[in-house]
Amino acid sequence: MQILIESDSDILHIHISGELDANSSIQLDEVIKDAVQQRKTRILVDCRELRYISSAGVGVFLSHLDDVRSLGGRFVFYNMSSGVFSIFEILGLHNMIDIVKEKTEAEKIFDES
Amino acid sequence: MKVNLTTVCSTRAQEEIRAFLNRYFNDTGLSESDKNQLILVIDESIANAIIHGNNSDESKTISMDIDFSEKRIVIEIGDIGLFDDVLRKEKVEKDIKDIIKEKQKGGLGLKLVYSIMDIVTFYTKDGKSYCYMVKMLK
Repeated sequence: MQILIESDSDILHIHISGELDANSSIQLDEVIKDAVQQRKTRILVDCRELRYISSAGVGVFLSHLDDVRSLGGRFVFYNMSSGVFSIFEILGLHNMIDIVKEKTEAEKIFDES
Repeated sequence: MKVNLTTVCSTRAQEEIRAFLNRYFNDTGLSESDKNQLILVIDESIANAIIHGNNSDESKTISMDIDFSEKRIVIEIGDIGLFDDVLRKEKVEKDIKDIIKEKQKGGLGLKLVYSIMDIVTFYTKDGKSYCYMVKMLK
């Protein structure tokens, strides 16, 4: 798994590629932990190259969700494959977090919030 | 179509196991969705066995038997370590909103396993613990 971070003054873009599982999710956890500490809580997550996510990967996002929201931020996921989306769907998370098709839609959510 | 796999008790081995399972299920004619869900179930079960059941003790091994037929798939994984039944039930039934509120990282894997499989049972034999799962195929 690889994580690419792109940060502007207001929004943090996280591009994840490869497979996010119990082993690799530790790295993602550090990235999000740092972002929350720096109060960078408007977080766009690009899933175009994300081939697989296990519960450990989903768990990283959920464990920071409350802190992100309490600081006025949110996670917005985009470019998610149907396989990855189905895992969020089975857990009932597709109705609780923002998952959109494209980057423009994702950015629009932040423009409006 | 039966297969047996044995892996070292480390999460570092999981990517390779998924790659093997991907090749195995490609020969079964399963839909992409069924294939992905079954790989997820096995991956989650192995992760639980490695991390929670065996404390990532790399001197140990975990084996899995998969028996695929047209009507059903049977998966057996062991030694999964000694899981607490009460704790397991609490984890599966816990509301996702409470998991978010309590900033929990765990507890989702078993939910996925129980959601996808038709039968999930645990048993102990000769001092080892096993997870036995069945999914009926359409």
